[in-house]
Amino acid sequence: MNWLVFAITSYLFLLLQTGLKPLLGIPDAMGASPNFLLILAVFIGLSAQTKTVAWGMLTLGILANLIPGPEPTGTILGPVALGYLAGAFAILQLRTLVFRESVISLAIMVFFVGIIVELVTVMLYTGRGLPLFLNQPIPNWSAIDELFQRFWELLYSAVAAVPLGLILLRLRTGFNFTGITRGERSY
Amino acid sequence: MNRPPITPKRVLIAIAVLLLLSSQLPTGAATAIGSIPRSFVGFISKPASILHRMSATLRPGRTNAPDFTPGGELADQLAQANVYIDTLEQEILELRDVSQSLAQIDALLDLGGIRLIGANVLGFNGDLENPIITIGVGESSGLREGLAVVWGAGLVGRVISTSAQTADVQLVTAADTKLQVRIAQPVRDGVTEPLPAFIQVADDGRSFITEDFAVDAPVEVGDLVHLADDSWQFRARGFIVGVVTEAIDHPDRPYLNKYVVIRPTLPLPSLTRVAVLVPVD
Repeated sequence: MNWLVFAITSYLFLLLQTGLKPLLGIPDAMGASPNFLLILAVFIGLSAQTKTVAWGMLTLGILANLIPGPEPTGTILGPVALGYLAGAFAILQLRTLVFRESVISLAIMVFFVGIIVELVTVMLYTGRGLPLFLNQPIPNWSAIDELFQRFWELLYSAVAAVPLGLILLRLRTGFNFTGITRGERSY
Repeated sequence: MNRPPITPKRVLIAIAVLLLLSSQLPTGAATAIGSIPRSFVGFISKPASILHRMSATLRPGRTNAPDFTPGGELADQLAQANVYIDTLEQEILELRDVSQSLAQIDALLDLGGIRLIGANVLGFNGDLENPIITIGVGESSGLREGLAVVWGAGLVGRVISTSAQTADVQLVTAADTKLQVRIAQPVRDGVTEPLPAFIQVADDGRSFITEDFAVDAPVEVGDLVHLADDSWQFRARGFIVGVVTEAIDHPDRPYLNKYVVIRPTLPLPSLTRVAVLVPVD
């Protein structure tokens, strides 16, 4: 994979993620909005070579983790990034079942892989409140409410993945997913 | 002694373990670690600010402009009489709102011991329970946790974390927010005193409610709600938390209490600029 193109695209998608919430939120800026970084992550997961997928999705997960989360006192690095890493594992299992160069496949995978990502993320945030471990629950945290809100965001993301997928698929050659990397043989 | 080779797979596993530990650290330590990569968000500050402003321009949030007309009867008559005149009146009301905000800013600027640091809004986290906007000034401009953030005469929120070039501001509509306020008429008549009250964020996360007033308390739609909370920065007191949009008999105690709904005067998640009240030490 061409990491320079990946970095530029990630930067642009992070901008979209942080800047377009007031415009795209349903019913208002406080409501559900599409997760652009997840769409890019699933696109990378569907298209990149196996050994690159985890690194790419982990990078995007860390970027997504930099956006302020539910903890009011600051950003907790880890839950979202690990959610994306779990998503990478899931996508590697599932991508053999779909036609990778289809935006419909991308949209469906955004939804299903997103479920894994959000489940792991919510689980890790919830884990902070368990008396067995840290017993430092996030204020006003409700796993059910979070899953409910994130479900709508996933649906919205899946819809948004169709037009974005058309653009990303045109950029496939730029990403050089099939490029030969050092130590790899071509037949 | 042979060391096991460092492979990408092992590095990935090590990072995953570190992230897992980070995610389960005590809050103070976890946020301290998280603030290091958060500093890199400064790289996107300028384009993100432009994009956010464009979004807010294309789809501005709802502004609950207070009705400054005493009684509001004239406005009602005009609305019934002529739609065109009603539109013009609305524009005049909004301009009066801006004018009063500017006058209050002038008054604040005259106060010693405080600096207003302007900042672009870089983004909004979209969380209804814990709404946070990120702004493009940080510790290098003197920001620190707990400082109040305002825009015009309206209260926006409070700084909850900072990095060198950015800061996170929790909006005043965060869940479980309880504020001590004073409710006053928009145009003082010199007789009615502002009423002290406690307000709390409603379940919808977009407004405040208070159920403490007696049924005959002189609270009217259009009254302004000013911050008077001891737990906030002293200079933030007096800023407008919202405007009364509903003052009805309490559904459960109709002969005893009023049910008052207050909405923020500013479209908080869609703001593109804010100002931080930084004390001059």
